[in-house]
Amino acid sequence: MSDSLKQINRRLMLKLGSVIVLMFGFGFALVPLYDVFCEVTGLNGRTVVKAESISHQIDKTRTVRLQLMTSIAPGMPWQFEPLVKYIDVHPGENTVVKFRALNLTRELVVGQAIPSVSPGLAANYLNKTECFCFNQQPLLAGEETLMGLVFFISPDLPANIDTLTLSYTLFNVTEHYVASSAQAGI
Amino acid sequence: MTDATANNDQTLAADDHHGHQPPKGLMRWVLTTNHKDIGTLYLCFSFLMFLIGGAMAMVIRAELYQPGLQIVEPNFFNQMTTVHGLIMVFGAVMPAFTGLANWLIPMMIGAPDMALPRMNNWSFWILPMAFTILLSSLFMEGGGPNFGWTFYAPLSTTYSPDSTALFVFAIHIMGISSILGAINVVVTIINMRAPGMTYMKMPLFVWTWLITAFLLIAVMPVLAATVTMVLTDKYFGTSFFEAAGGGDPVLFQHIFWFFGHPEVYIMILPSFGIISAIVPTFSRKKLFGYSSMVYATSSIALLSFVVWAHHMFTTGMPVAAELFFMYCTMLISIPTGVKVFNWVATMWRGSLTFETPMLFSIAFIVLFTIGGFSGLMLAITPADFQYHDTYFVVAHFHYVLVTGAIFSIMAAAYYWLPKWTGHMYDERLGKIHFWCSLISVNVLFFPMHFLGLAGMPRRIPDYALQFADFNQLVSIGGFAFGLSQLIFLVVLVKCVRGGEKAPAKPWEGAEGLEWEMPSPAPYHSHTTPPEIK
Amino acid sequence: MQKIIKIFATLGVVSLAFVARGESSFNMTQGVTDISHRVYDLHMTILYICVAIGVVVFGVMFYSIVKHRKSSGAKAAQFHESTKVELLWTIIPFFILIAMAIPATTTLIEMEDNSKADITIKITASQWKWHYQYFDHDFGFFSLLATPSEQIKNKATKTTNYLLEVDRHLVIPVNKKVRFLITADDVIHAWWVPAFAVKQDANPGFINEAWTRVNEPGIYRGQCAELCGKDHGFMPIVVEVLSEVDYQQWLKGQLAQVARDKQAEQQALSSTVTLEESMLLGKTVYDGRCAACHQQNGQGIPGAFPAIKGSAIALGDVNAHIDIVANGKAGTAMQAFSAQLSSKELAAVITYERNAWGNDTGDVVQASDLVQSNANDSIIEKFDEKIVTPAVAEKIEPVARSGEAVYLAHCAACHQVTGAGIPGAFPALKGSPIALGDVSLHIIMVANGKPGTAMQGFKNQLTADELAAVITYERNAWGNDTGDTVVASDIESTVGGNK
Repeated sequence: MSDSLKQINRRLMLKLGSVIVLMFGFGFALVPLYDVFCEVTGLNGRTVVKAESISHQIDKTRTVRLQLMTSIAPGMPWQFEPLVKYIDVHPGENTVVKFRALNLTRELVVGQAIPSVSPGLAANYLNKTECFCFNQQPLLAGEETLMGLVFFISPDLPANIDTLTLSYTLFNVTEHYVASSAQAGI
Repeated sequence: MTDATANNDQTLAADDHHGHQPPKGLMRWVLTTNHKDIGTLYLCFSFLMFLIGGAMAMVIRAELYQPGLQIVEPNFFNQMTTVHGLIMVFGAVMPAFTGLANWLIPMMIGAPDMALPRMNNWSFWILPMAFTILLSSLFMEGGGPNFGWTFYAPLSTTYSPDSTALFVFAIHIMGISSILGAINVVVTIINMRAPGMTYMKMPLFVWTWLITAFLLIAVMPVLAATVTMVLTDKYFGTSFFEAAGGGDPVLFQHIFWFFGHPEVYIMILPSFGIISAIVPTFSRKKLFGYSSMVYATSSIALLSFVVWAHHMFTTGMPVAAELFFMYCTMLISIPTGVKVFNWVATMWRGSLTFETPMLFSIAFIVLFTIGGFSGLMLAITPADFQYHDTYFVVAHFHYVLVTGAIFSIMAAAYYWLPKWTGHMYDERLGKIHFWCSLISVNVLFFPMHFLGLAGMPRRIPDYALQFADFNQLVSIGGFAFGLSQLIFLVVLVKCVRGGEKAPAKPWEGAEGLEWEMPSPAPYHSHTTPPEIK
Repeated sequence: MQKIIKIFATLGVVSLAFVARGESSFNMTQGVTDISHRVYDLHMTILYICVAIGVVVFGVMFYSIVKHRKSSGAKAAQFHESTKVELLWTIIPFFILIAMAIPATTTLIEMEDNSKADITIKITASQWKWHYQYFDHDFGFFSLLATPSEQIKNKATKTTNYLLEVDRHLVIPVNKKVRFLITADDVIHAWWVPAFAVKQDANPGFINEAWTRVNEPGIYRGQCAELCGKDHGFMPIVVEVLSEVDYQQWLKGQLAQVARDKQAEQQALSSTVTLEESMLLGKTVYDGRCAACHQQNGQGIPGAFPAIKGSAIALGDVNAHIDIVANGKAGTAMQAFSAQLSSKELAAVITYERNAWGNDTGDVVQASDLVQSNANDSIIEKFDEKIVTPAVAEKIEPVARSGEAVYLAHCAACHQVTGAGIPGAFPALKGSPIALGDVSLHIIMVANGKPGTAMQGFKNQLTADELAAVITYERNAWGNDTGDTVVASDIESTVGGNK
C-alpha cells in the first residue's frame, strides 16, 4: 500500500474513531435525555420535580380521587403509611396529606421515598409544592414522625382520568446519607 | 469522503508484503495481516462457537425434554440460556459475517487487502480472549451470567452473581473487536475500491456490509456504555438503574434496546447481501431491482433506530409511545417485503438449478419470511401483550436468526468454498446436510409458535403438563438439528483436504470480480487493480 | 423439489387446521374478557393476512421453481427492473398495514383506559412469589407455588395443575372492573394471565397499571413472564373469579380471618414454645420460604446465596439474626420476612436456623423476643393503637393561606413538617427558644433571616399577612402552645412594611 493511501485510510479511521467516542458518550447522555423524555411524556410516572408555586384556581366541576399507597423496600426497618388511603379533590385545590413513619430500630436510619404515579400520563398533572420525598428523611432510634405532602392536581388533567395513584417506595439510604450541615450552621 | 480516485496509486499495492508465500506454522496465523487468513480465522472461530453454543442449546433442550427437573438446576439452566444467546450472537453469527467480509470484500471491490491490516489482526485475536473469559466465568463460584443475554437490571446488577465483572469485561472486548472490524470494513469500502467501481456497481454483499458497519459503529459504543453502567451500579455504588438512588430499571431497557434493535439488523443485513449474490447466480439472471435493494437496506437500517421500544410494550409506556413504536415497526415490513419480492422476481423466468447454496437460499427466503410474519404479529401492541416473553417470541427470533442468518452463512460457505479451498465440496453430502437441517429446524422451531400461543413463558427450566408433547417434539428436532451440523463439519473438512479441482468460476451464472481469479484465490490478489467494465 | 412443496403444503394445511379449531392448545386463548376476545380477533386477522400474503408470494416462487428450472429447458429472461412493479409492491403493503393498524389502535386505546374501576388490587412481586393487597379493604396475602418439590424432582406423580397451583388464589368478582397496580420489591417480574390478556411488568420502585373485567366465573392460571432469577419458572398466578355474592362471602371470611390472626399474634407473644415445637414449625417455614435460595441443607449456593450452616449470623448475636430475617438486607436478594410471616413463624424459623445442620446454638427464639430485639414487628401493634382516628386530610383555600400552608411551602423543607428540623443540619422549631421566647425576636428572625446560616429573610418573599400567619403557626404548632397570635400590624411595627 502506498503511503498516501495509508494516510487517507488513517484519516478516515480516526474520523470513525471519533464517531465511536461520540456514540459512547451518547450512551451516557441517554440517561439525562431519558429524564427529560420521562418528564415530557410522564413515562413511568416519575414526579421528582417540585412545582413552582401553589395553585390559585380551582375547578369545582370535577372531582378526582387520589389513592395513596406505600411500599417498603427490603432492608428498610420502618413502618410507613399514609394516614388516609385516598382523598377526593377538585383539580387546582391545594391539599395536604400526611404519612406517618416509625423507625423500628435502635439506631438512626435514613429513608428516601421514591414516588411513582399511575397512570403515568397523570404524573405531569400532579404538582407537589412540598414533599418529604424531596429530601432524605432521618429518623432517630424508635422515633416516629408525620411527613407532609402538599400538592394540587392541575385543572388541565385529561378528562378521562378519574383516579390517580401515588405510590411511595421507601428505601434505606443510611449508608449514603451525608448530613448537609456544611451549608447550614445555626 | 474520498472516492475511488484515491486508488490510482494502488498499482504499487502489496509492495510492503515481502515474499509472496505465507510463512509456515502457527506463527503464520498469529501474526498474519492477510485478509484471507484473517477471514479463515474468523470463520473457523465462529464455527467452533456455533458448536459450543449449540451444545448449550442441547443442554437446554435435554432439560426441557420432559416436565420436571432432570438434568440441571434452574440456576445453571439460566446460565445456559444466557451464554447460549451471547455466544450465538457475538461468537457465531457476528464473527462469521466479519469472516465473510474479510474474505470477500477486498476480492469483490478489487482491493489488494483490507485497509488496516494490522488492526485487522488485532480485531480477530482479542475475540478468543473475550470468549475464554466469558466461558471461564461459568466455572466460577456462583456460576456465570444467569440473567439472560439481555441482562436486564437490576437482575444483572444488585442480584447478579459475583462473576458479572467478567461478563462485562468480555462484552467490552467483543464490542471493541466488532468496532475495529467495522471501521476496517468502512475504510476499505470507501477508500480501496478499484478505479471504476462506483458505489452503485458494488455487489450487494458489499453494500449491505457497508450499512451494517455503520450500524455497528453507531450502536456498539452504546452497548459498551450500557455494560459500563451495569458495572458501576454493581460495584461502584452508582444508581443508573436503581430507584433508591433516583435511577430507573426501565432506563436500562431503553438503552439496551437502542443498541439491541439495530444489533438485530446487524445480524441479518449481510444475509440479504449473500442471498442477493446466490439467487441470481443459480437463476442465471441478473438480480431484480438492484437499486431498490440498496434503498431498502438503507431504510431498514435507518428505521432500526426508531423501533427499539417494541421490545418493551409491557413495561408500562404511555399509549402515544406504544402507538408510535407500533407504527414504525410495522413500517419496517415494507422494505423487507420489497427484498423478498425482488428475490422472487429474480427467480421468475430464470433458468434455475438447485445446488446446495441455492437450496439454502430458497429455504432462507421462505423461512425468513415466516419469521418476518411473526415479527409483524409481534409489532401489533395489543397482541404483543399476549406474545411477549413467550415461546412465540423464541420461535420468531430463531426463525430469523437460525433459518435466516445461519442458513445464509451456510449458503455463503457452500457458495464460496470452491474459491477459498480450490476444491469442490461434496455435493451429495451438502444436499443431505441441507435436507436434514431443513426438516429438523422446522420440527425444532415451528411447534414453538404453538407453545407460545398456548401460554408457555420463555426462559423457564420446567413447565406445566399441557406443554409436554410439543416440548418433546421440539427437543427431538433440536437434537436432530444439532447432529445435522456435524455433517457440515465433515463436508468442510473433506473440502479443505481435497476433492475435485474447482475452476475459476465453478457456477455458471456467477458474476463478480472474485470469480475472475483462479481457485483457490491467490494469497495476494488484485495486486494491480482490475478493470471495471 | 416436489418434496419441499409437499412438506410446506402439509405444514400449512396442518397449522391452518389447528388454528381453525379455535380454542385449542395450538392457538392463543380467546379468554374470558371482552378485551381478550378483541386481542384474539386481532391475532387471527393478522395471522390470516400473513398466511394470505405467504400463499401468494410462495405460490409464485414455487411455480417458478417448478416451471423455470434449467433441467426442463427454461431459458433465463433478461429483465431486471420495473419501476411500475416495484412501486406497486411498495404501495400495496402500505395499505395492508393501515388496515391492520386501525383495529390494533382502537383495541390498544381501549386496553389502556383504566378509569372507573370498581376494585383496586395492588400486586407486589418478589423473588419468587406474589403479594395481593386489597386496597379497598386493607388486607392482603402472599401467594406461593403449591406444587410439592417431590413432583418437580420427579419423585412423585405430577398432578393436573403441575406448576400452576398456588397456596392462596387471588379472588375477584365477576363483571366488575378490577384495577391492578403492579410493582416489585427486588427485580423485574411480569404479571400475566392469558385468559384476561393482561401482561404487565412489575418494576421495583415504580407502579404500573392494568385492568380486567371478567365475564365468566372460574379459575384462571398464568405465570411470571419476565426472567426474575433462579425460580422464575416457579411463580404461577391463579385467579379465582367468583359471583358477586360469593365474593362478598369470601371477603367476609377473609376479614374475619385477619382478626383471628391478630389475636393469635397477641397470644403468641405471651406463650412459650419448646425447642422441639419450634424446630418442627421452623423446618416447614424454612423449606417453604428460605430453601429456594439457602437450600434445604442450609449450604446456600456459593457465590450467589450465602450458607446458613456455620454462618456468622446464625451462630452469632440473636438480635442481629432477627433483624436480617425480619427486615431483609438492602442491596441483596434477602427479603424482609416480617411482613410475610407471623411472629410465631419468624421465631420458629430463626430457632430452626440456629439449631439445624449442626449449628446447635441451643437458642430458642420466642415470639416475644422479637419485641425486645432491635428490629421488631410488634411495636407496630402498639403504634396502631396510638393513632386511633387518623387525621383527615386537610384542604387549604388558596385565597387566605393558612400559616400551615405557608410553613409547608417555605419552611418545612429545612425545619421539617414536624418542626423537628434535621439534627446537625437544620434546627428544630418545636420547643425552640425562638418559638417560645420573645415574639419580636421571632419576627426579626423570620423576616430578615440570620446571616451566615441557611436561614433566609422571608420579608420579600411573603406578605405581612403570610408572615404573621406562619409565625403564629410556629408558635402554636407541635405543642409549642404559646397562645400568641401575631397579626400583620405586629410585623410592620417590628421590621417595617415590606416591598
